[in-house]
Amino acid sequence: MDIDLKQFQQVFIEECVEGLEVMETELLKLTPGAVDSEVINTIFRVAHSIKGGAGTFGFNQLTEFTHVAETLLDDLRAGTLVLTDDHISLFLQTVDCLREWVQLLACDLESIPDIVEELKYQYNQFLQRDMNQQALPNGDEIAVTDVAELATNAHDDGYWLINFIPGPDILKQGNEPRLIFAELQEMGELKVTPKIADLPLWEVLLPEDIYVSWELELISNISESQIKEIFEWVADDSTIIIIHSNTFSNSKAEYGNTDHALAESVMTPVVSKTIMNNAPTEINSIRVSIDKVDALINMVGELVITQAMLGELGQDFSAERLPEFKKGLIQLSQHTREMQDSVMKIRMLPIQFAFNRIPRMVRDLSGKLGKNVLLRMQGEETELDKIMLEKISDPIMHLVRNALDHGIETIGERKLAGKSDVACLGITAFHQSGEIIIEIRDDGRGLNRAKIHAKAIENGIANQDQHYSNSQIDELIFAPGFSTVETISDISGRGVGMDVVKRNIESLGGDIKVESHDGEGSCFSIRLPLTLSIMDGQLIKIGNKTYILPIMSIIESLQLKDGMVTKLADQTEVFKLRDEFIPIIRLYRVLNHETSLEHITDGLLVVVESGCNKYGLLVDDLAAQQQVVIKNLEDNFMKVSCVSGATILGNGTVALILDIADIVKIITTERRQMQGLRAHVAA
Amino acid sequence: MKRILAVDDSVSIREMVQFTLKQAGYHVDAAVDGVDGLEKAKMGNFDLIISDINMPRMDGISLISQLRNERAYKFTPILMLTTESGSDKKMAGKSAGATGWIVKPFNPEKLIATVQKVLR
Amino acid sequence: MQADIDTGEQSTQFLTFIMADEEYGVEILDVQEIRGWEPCTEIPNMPQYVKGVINLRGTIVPIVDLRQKFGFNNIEYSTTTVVIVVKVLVEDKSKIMGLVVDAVSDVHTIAHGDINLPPQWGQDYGPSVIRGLISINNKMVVLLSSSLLLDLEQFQNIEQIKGHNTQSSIVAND
Repeated sequence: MDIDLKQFQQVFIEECVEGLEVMETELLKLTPGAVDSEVINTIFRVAHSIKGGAGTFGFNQLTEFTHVAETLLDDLRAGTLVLTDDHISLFLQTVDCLREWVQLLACDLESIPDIVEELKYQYNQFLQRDMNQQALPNGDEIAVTDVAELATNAHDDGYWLINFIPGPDILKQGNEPRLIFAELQEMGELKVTPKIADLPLWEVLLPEDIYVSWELELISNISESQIKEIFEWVADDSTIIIIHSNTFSNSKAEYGNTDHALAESVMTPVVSKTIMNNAPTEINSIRVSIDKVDALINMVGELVITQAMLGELGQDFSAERLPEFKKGLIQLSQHTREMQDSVMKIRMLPIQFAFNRIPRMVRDLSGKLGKNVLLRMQGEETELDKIMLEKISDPIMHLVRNALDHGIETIGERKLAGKSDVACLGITAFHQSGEIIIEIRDDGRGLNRAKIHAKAIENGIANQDQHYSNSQIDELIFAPGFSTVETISDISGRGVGMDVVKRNIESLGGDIKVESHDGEGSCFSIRLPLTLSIMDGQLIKIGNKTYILPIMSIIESLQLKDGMVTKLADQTEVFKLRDEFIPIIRLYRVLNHETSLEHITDGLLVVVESGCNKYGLLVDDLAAQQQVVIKNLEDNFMKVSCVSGATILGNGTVALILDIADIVKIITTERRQMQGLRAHVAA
Repeated sequence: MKRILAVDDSVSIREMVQFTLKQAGYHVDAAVDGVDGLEKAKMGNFDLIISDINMPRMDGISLISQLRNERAYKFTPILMLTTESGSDKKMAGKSAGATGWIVKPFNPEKLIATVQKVLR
Repeated sequence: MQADIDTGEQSTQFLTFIMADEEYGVEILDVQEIRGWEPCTEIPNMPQYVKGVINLRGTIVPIVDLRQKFGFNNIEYSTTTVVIVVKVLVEDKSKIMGLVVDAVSDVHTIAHGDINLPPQWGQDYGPSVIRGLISINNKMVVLLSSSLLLDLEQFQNIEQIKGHNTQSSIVAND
């Protein structure tokens, strides 16, 4: 039967993972002292479930461990113990431990996490019970009893006289004397004699009660304990008298029987198998709501109808049917778009999955750092693509960690600054014009601009003589190799994290901005496109080549006139757009291309936004706007600078999608190098 | 073919029970908690109900009580799945009208043997 | 001398092609298809031998001119110019690339024992991609390793070249 159970083991593992998440969430809702019974019951059920499953699949050590946790939880929910912070911490540590353990089980490894013994010790401290006296799962108990019985009843056999006086209610419990007798009959020869002497009068007889009792004569080499087991369920409510006499000698069969019973009730632990290389850390399935699937099915239905209609038109076409045909095409594009939306929605999951580790971390860290933090999360139901969810999880955690470590002050500091003791950390997610915005806002001390500026100069990222606006200084924290942490704290590590965070977000097609006010706090906002692989693109022409710009980044486009362009000292060209001066990037140069433009005013300027800044991209011409399926170049080639991907146009040719952030980066680097060169030359 | 209803909030236990008993030749349906179990029992016609005790929404003891109030299930065997070594749960179960119990952890053979005790 | 198939020796089939009057070969199992030359979409800031990318039934495939890559003189593409589409496993991932060559020659079955190891060539040829040499019909054929051809490490040099290009273009103002 080992083989039969294996297939459910994976389900059990997944179940444990989910259960542990629930357990953690609920644990964080607990406050010492007052115990919300709903919450503690949920936690108890998870532990109970894991214990039950563990036993079924033969993970004895796991069963034992969860049993201890369950016992403490039981005491707490019954009120015999008062809930303290230490209890909560112990449970949280148990969750971590169990998570690790479950992963080991998933790889068929027999080892258990090191911390198990220590946690068991702590549990026992709370329960004040000796480990050896702990009640073990029933299976073992019965085995022990059986062995004892075996010893004493070793030579019991022969003739049994059983008086069975059933309690009146046993029928209402679903117990049937007939079935009990059938079981006894399997053990040997049985003679059943009903005793009806004490039957009440017909008028007072309750048809659902039992009034009959029986005398049973059984010839068998069965043991007394086995007989008791057969009557186990009715024993409490009935009177059972068992008498036996020895007429047969001891038989080996009896040993065999009870041995087998013993073997049955004690599960052998799973034998260590060859270690698997890949641990199933990510659950690669998605739960999809039935509604989404139904919507999709409906849409496919519509599509089939439209296709049939067009097919028919194609077979029997004439010029006068052209308007019909055009109508069909419009319908087709509509249905396709709807279906596309629908399919995308299937992969969308609430961002809550990325947020769920945050409360735990906030609790742990704020405790460690001596800060009092109130966490507020909003918009957890906002949905985004599964892959994006997985990839945004770590960057978000990093930003939260940063806010806790650097942004938020200690209670003492806050008092001095006249702020409330409790700092506020707000995490919000919402949809806005086809994108997802995630904001991480704290009311701490804000970015330390002096320090950032100084460090940037020290690391060669900033120019000593250049003036930087506040927001420009803020942006410096995203530059590679930047760090203001003197000692590398083990909490947020090196400041190099910010650069990686930015790159990760950009690789998803999004960006990150920071807004900070001295003494009042900072707000990091992440912008992500709603879908990963399809975007709205603007086709542009440079020379005879077509490229694509993401419409999401385009603010407006205009034609430059003479006099609008000014050249700065460092050769940068800028133009004035209302109140701002926007630098111009001649795309044909960045891309090393031929252009058909003779003069800057012949082309068009596409004003785009990247990070906090605006740029004007000079193109020869604008072409159509269309929806574009993004194919990446890295599959068969490599990451190309200035290019974020490629797509196949309607005419079958390939067009490259430009990566604005990358282009800006290259220009900026070059400019800096040029300045360095000039400074060097001048010196 | 005898029909069994298995009620447990644990997916793996449900699947295992269903699989084991189906292999043994029974028809098996499953429910995820007491409320679900009661509904399914009312709609179906079961010869045996196996239920866990600790479940959300409605626990096993309540489910057993409710089932015993139903005409169709007054005398139907109902087995509790329990890991509680304490006898108070068993007592509570019996007072609510449970026929008997299966102790967790159980292996497939034990499950089938116990079921056969009540379904002949 | 032709390799003898019947000797039971380990042998592999190679597709041979012509470049600058020399014969080269790649394992036929790595060849997905052979296409005529068609214009491709250029990729900015790439060395000359990276012609660009094409749409191969929905997949974006880069096209590399082997002749230019190996440092031969450029020629005009003619009717015999073909693109050999090669598909190999590079670090567990399957990669596809198109190689532009002058013309396709033949398919030969070559016994492993007959392949001679290459002597040390100069830098231009990129010694790593050469698997060995063999003489077929008194002509020397250079056998190439497809997986090494597609190995992208070689393209890392591109960064320097590209950097040089953009810098000079930025400085030059209109």
